[in-house]
Amino acid sequence: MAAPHALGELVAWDTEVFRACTNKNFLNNTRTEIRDRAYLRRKKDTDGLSMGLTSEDAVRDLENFGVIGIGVGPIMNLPRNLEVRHDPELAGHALIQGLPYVDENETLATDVAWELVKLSRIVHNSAFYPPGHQHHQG
Amino acid sequence: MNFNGFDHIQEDEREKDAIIALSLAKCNPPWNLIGEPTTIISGSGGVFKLCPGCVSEETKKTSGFTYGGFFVQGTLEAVEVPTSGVCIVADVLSSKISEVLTATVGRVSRPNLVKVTLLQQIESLPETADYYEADENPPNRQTKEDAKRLILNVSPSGVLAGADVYAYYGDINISWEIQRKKIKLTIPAHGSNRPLSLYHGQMQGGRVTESDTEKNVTADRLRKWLDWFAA
Repeated sequence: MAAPHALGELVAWDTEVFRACTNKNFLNNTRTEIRDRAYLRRKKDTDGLSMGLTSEDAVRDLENFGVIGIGVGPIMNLPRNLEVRHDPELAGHALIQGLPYVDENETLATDVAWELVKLSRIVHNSAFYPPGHQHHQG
Repeated sequence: MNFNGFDHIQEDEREKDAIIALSLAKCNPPWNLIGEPTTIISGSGGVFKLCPGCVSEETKKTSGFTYGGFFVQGTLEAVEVPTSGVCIVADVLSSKISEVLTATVGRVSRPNLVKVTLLQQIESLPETADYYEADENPPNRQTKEDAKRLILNVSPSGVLAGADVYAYYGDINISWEIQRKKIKLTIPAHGSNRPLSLYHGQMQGGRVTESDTEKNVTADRLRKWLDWFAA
């Protein structure tokens, strides 16, 4: 297992952060609703859940099937001890830290994921490949 | 005997579910209730829709079937559902099952679209890589069968309406959600030795105020929580 990232600075409360839909199951079949699995943390998510500071950052180097956005303030306001921190090792990258692991506490993980879904919006409901992305088609 | 109309409807539905279950065991997916039939045989008993796997055998039997839509030959039986024209073919495994089929002739009104749609959603869970993480496998055939078996035993079918079905690392999640309530049934990957589980939660002001996860969920428990969800 890789060593955990050093903690970066907190992301500003008035910021929106973005998560790439790395598979089609993040959204429902009509691509109109976010599923809780978008925010379920697994053992491999050692450092937390990956977010981008922009949609472009979120999908950098990733095949994706959409992008969802969520405000940092609303995340921090949840009584769940969650934090959104910059990744000091990768510009434009942030991490939601403090999420419970679904393998350890399924109920709590589902509670938090459901709350985060309620705070989120769909930014792109299909693949988003901005200029400069390896899959971008001009 | 109870002549209460609701009891009769529920009994019909249970019998129909038993037949669908048999049909699924014989011919996956539930071809006979979904989409266009492969073959239609018209006769004095009505119109029968046949699954691809049964066509050759059924075609041989056309001279044997009688009005009422019920005939027996070899190991297959066909039951007509007169008002909808849908035919269900099932494996005949025991005399008990034959009795169920006999009792159903002329009584089942039409397939329940809510349950059929849900079965179809389970059956059609995709296997393409786009739907999964690199380290994630889609649900296998046995897991889909586990999910369908549980759903088939939920009665009445109407409580199942509005489900979202999706995969999660070999598991199948079936979720019902409204603004304040959420139920998520997790059918674990077959052979994982994890129990069926059911999350139920209530939300107020954007915060989950009550929640729990039940293990070893039965169809009756799922029905109970779906009743709570709808209340």
